[in-house]
Amino acid sequence: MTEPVATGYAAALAELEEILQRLERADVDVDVLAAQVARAAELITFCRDRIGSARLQIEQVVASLDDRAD
Amino acid sequence: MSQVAFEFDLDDGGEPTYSVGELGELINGALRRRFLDGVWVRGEIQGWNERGPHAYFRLVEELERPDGSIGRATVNVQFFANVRMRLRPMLQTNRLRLADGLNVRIYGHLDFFAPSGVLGLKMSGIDPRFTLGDLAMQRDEVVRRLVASGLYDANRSRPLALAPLRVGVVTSTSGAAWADFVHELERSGLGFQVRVIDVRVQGDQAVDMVTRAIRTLGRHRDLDVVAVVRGGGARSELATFDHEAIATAIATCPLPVLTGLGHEIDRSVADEVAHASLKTPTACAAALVERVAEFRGRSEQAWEALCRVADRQLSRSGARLNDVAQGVRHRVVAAVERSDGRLHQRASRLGTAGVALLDRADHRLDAVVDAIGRSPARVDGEARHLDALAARVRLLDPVHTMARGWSITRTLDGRIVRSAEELALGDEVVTSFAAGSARSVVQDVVP
Repeated sequence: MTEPVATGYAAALAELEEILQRLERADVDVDVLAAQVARAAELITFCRDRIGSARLQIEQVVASLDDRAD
Repeated sequence: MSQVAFEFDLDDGGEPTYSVGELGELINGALRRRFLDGVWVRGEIQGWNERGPHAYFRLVEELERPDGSIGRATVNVQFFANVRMRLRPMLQTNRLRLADGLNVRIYGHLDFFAPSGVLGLKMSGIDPRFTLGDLAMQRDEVVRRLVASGLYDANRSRPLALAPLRVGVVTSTSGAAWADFVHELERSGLGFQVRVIDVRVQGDQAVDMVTRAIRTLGRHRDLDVVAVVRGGGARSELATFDHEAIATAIATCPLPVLTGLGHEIDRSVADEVAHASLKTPTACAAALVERVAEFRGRSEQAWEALCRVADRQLSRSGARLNDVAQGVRHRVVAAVERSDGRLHQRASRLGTAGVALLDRADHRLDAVVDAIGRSPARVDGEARHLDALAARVRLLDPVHTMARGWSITRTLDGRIVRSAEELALGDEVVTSFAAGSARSVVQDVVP
């Protein structure tokens, strides 16, 4: 990876949207296209990890609240 | 030795020669003829001398001689017992006592006393009005000079202390006057302090002694008043206190001077210039006692009045203090009750408000829990969005396009060839496939 992953989910998502808009134009160089796709894939992986980890934490918290409520 | 012969050519002319005794009788006869019933003579008594019931003195007149010096004329006087007895009532009536220094006009018979060869005057009468008039004249002269010099009222202008307890006394301590004076002061029971100077109040030294004593006491700053006292005596002896030296000492004394000279009728010059003159030593002491007693009375009255006022003020202040104390007590109790009420009210509000607060917090917490419960749904939404993005990225990947048979042709310097027109015959190009690449030479160009 040439660039560090964005500092947070929102920043990573914003960069991903920006790459997509750029790639969907017709005159994109094939080489640039490949590099940009690779960066997009990296960002998608990062976001998926964050979503997975958030989901896990939320489930734990809700479970503990439910335990106390019981 | 030769016989001295005395030869007198004495012409006695038939004049008789008297024996000494005959001459004495002749002189006495001549005196009786000349002066018949007697003669009045005036002069100053000197050398007063009493021998038994008789008295002898000289009658003297000082004379100014033509050369300016002072001489004197003297006649010896015999004042025999029978005449003294006869004249005593008359002298007493006029309060005269014959003594040195007194100017008198006396009547008598001249007598040549042969045994001693001395001419004398047998006194048989006296003119009291002459002596009294002379005393009065001298006295008036002294008063006139005191008035002229401004001293007449000087001592009266000295303020007498309100409580003249410290008394200087000029008197003869051997006389009744002193005893009377002290007795009167002691009898009062007041705290008098007395300092006495013992003096002669009659006779030659009296004037000097009294004058010096007054001046001495006048210098004492720890005295309030000076009293000059003596018992009763002859009018002629009071002349001592008519003397200008004593009068001046009293007038100029820094302390007020009281006199009590023992005369019911006569006033001496000392009495005239004194701050106050009393008739007797007892009266003099009584005046001081009265002054102090009056001051004590006034002080006590003032003190009692002060006490009454203070009592009243204290009572009033006490009552006011009580009122204030009551007011304070009431207000404090009321304030405490009000505070207690407010405290209860707040405690009760606190209970209610606390419960409400907790309820609200509970509700908010429930909402938060709900929101948290909805979080997974949001995460799912995000995941779906991400999947869509991933799908779009996949579509754009050239790997997939080339897998279907598409290839990419580049010049040797790496430019992508998009049109046949970019090539010329003989150019070398590199073609990339899904798998691998090939280098070829352009043999034909079809634009």
